[in-house]
Amino acid sequence: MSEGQQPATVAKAMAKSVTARLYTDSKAREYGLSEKEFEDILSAVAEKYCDGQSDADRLALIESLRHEELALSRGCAKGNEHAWEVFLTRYRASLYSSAYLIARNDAAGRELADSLYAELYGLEERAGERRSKLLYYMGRGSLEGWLRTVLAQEWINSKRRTRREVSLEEQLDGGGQFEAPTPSAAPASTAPTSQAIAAGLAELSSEDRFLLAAYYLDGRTLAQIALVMRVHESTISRKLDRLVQSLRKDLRKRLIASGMSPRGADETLAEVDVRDLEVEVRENLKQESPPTAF
Amino acid sequence: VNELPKSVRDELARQQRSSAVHPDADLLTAFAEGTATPTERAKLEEHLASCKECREVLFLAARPAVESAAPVGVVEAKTGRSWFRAWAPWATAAVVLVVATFTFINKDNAPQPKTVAKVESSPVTAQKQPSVSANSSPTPESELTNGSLARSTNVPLKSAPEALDALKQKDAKVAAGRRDKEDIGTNELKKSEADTATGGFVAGSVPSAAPIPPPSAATVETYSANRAARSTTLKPGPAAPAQNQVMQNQQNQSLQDLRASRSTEAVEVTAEASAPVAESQAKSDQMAGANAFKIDGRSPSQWRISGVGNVERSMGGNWSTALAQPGTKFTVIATIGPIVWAGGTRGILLRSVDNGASWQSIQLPNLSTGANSTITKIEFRDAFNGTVYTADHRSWSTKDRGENWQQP
Repeated sequence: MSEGQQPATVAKAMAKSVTARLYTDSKAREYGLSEKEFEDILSAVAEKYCDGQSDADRLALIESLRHEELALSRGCAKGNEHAWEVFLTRYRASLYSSAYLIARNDAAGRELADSLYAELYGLEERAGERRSKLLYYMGRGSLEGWLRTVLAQEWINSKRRTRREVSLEEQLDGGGQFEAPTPSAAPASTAPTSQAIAAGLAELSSEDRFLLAAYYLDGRTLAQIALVMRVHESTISRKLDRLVQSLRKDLRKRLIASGMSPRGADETLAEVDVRDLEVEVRENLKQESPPTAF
Repeated sequence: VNELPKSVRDELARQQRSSAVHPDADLLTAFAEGTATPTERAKLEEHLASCKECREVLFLAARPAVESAAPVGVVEAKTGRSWFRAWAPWATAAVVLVVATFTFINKDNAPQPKTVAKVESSPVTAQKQPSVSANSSPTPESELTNGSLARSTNVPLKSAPEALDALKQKDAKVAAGRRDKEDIGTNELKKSEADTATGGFVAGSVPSAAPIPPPSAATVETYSANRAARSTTLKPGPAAPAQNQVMQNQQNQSLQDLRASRSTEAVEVTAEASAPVAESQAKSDQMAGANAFKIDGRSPSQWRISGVGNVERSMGGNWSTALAQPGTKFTVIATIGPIVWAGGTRGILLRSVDNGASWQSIQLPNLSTGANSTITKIEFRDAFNGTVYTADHRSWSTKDRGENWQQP
């Protein structure tokens, strides 16, 4: 055996022992999976997420998976009755409650959950076989979290579909035939300013840009962002404060460097653009009480 | 939070573009649950910064605040509801006792020959707890039965000494039960010490026969403080005449003694406010006296620190010792996915990457082994990035799952 082959063999042997241990721990046998099938599942997951990485990384990824939930989902996809019993006992209630929370409407939530159930059971047939959506679960996060994410994706997709499907009557009733062209949401600013701001934003980390977009564009609350980022909301608040301050300073420097006057830079970085102000002069000048005769 | 300049917001909005390729549900879940690798996390953040649809999916799928577990490594605050529920009838009974006593004393000093104790009680109290009307005079009980309470509940009224005796007897029973539990806890402590004397970490051993360890000193202190903050204050009645002051003091002293004797009872922990009462009671019975931590609601197994400082794990309801080390009391535990971190006295820090099946000792650089080196807090933002704090306010951070540590 050459020296190059030895580490690969050792890694393979280690992977084998790890797979055997995980097969036992995950109760895959109870869910109707053979050890070979379970090994294939783990290999497929490692292949998908660790393509081209070292054996140690693959092993670390395999160790970090949710093995029991992965085995359960694949058992369900295979049609194992015990797996379905466990799945329904464990996730049915949370699936429906998550659907209600996402849809914020009982009927729509129920419809959403029912449609996902059908897909989990497997309606799509390929070569005469049902194909369950649970086959796409890879065990990277919890199965409950995955189900919520899939529900959210389905909900967004359904909203997008219904937005496109507007009947002609509705369009006419809504004045669609006389609809004015929608103004562009963000009018393009002057080129040097825009370039300076774009360059300033590009230098931010992806996490910072995500925070800015979530808070200022999507209007998410600090609590919602904190929940997703797994930190306290005061941390997000401090982070956003510091981020906006440093961004403002950085952009001011950039704008001045690009030839803009300090006052012009301050106006550009003002929180409200004066051109967007709609001042009702007549309303403001109108006296509160009507003039009366002496 | 500071406002973002409008020009910057416009530029940010311009950078939003609808991508044809989106991350799959697995990666988004891993991102939300902190189990994505740093590389994956960076890629996802890059995508999320410019993809409104994926951000919407992420926020919709995020667990609502009411269901979410506390941040990793933070002890979940205990609610006072179950405690209040348990003690509310007793507090009501005590108030009734005091009011009735004052009523009787005032009536006794008045010229009227007959005493009538009229007590208004809430329906809930009347159903749950036999209300007691107190009378310290030798008046026959038959004279007191014309009160509305006696008619409505058919409970024989008792004189104050009888009522106090009854309460004391009940307390004695409770105390006896508590002593039994303490004995069990002491035996468990001895057993644990005997087990740990063999040396080394014990992983997955000592299956628990549901013993209830006694509350640790720190636990009792914490809960006593909480209880003091929540306790119902018994307001003193109207100023009594000078000649009745001695009797009033005696009554108050008796009540204070009763309350003091009850104050050492085992405390309930980790009873979720939204859980059904029966489930909450069962949970509190099971976990009474233990310094329990709920770490991650998404994890299939639950972890806690027992009263004797061992790490315990629950797989489907049965708690068993997952980690014990002689001479070390574990103080904090944190989980993130299958990775479990446990910290304790003398700066002991252990990590398990397989949900507690095996443990590795992690050495923090430049850490003394004195009394101030007890690990007090473990915070992990994701599987890779986290910080460990000790009692002397020092901290160590890692970015690679604990392989390397840096001090600020």
